[in-house]
Amino acid sequence: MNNTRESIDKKIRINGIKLSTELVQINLLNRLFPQDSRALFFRLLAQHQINIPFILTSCMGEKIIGSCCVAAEDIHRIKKVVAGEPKLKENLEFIPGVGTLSIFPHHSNLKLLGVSFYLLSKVRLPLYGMASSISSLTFITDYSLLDEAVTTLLEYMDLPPNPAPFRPETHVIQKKR
Amino acid sequence: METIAVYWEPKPKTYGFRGVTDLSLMNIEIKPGEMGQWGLWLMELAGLDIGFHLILAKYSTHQKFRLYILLENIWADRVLSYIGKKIDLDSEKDFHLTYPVELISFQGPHFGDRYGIAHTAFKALDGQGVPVLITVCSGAAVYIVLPENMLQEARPLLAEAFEVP
Repeated sequence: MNNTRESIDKKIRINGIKLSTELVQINLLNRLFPQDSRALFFRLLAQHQINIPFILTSCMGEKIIGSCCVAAEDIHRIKKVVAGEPKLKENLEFIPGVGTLSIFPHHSNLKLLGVSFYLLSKVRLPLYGMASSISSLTFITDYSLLDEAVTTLLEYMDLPPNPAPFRPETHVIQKKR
Repeated sequence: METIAVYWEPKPKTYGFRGVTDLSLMNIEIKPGEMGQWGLWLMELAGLDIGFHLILAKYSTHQKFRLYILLENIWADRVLSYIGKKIDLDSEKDFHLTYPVELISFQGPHFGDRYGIAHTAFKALDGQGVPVLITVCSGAAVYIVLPENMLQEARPLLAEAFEVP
């Protein structure tokens, strides 16, 4: 394997990094009734006005058909909601204490992903999922390790002077009137 | 540190739908301990100026982490030629290519902060004969990867469920 300095010949310029509040990852398992369980899960959370800020699903024969993240403060409500649906409850798996780290922009180029995979694996950061969005790459890791992840990435990424704060200063919640 | 927005739209507003056809979906298994190596390979691939439409990675089982890359089919041969030197492309376990696939994506105001957006999208497509291969909701954007010829079916169903400018 080449050394990192050769592979990352110069620091990548990025515009910003965003860190989430503490989240819980919920994995949807494909054990009993794959399609129904997913539809039921999203319907129940919508009915109870619970936001799901990050969702990944795939329908390609996997055992884990979906992973999503919800706010840590919503998890007790979610457990209560699914308690009334035993088959659904059996198909859910909870990973507490996770958070997301988003880096932008990716310019639809694989380099930012490659550098991130390389650096995050170098410090053995657990990665539970990731996805691109319009301009950012979002990684799910342990909430307690988000600052370490930022420090690691900034060894090879340059922020502009006076970047926006990494952590959210406002938290928008939608409520039905 | 909290802003509560009290409003409700009968149909969530979007900024419009974007559809792309003739795409290839690569599905690659990243074995434990190989993330760093894949990082280096992806950096080399980036040097070939290959753009992507969507990337995601998730566990498919409790041990297997899979990377999905959605890109224009015109880039597929170049990527396959590169990856074929690193892994066995004939092993279904390690690599799977789905071609052709289609993508519909859309975004809307504060989609990432609002409940019910994913449910609205899934409800529009469920039971309508539109199979969904991949869904990503990240930030204010929703991406739905569909099999061939399904974009034309999905677009009007989603346009009915969401308000389009």
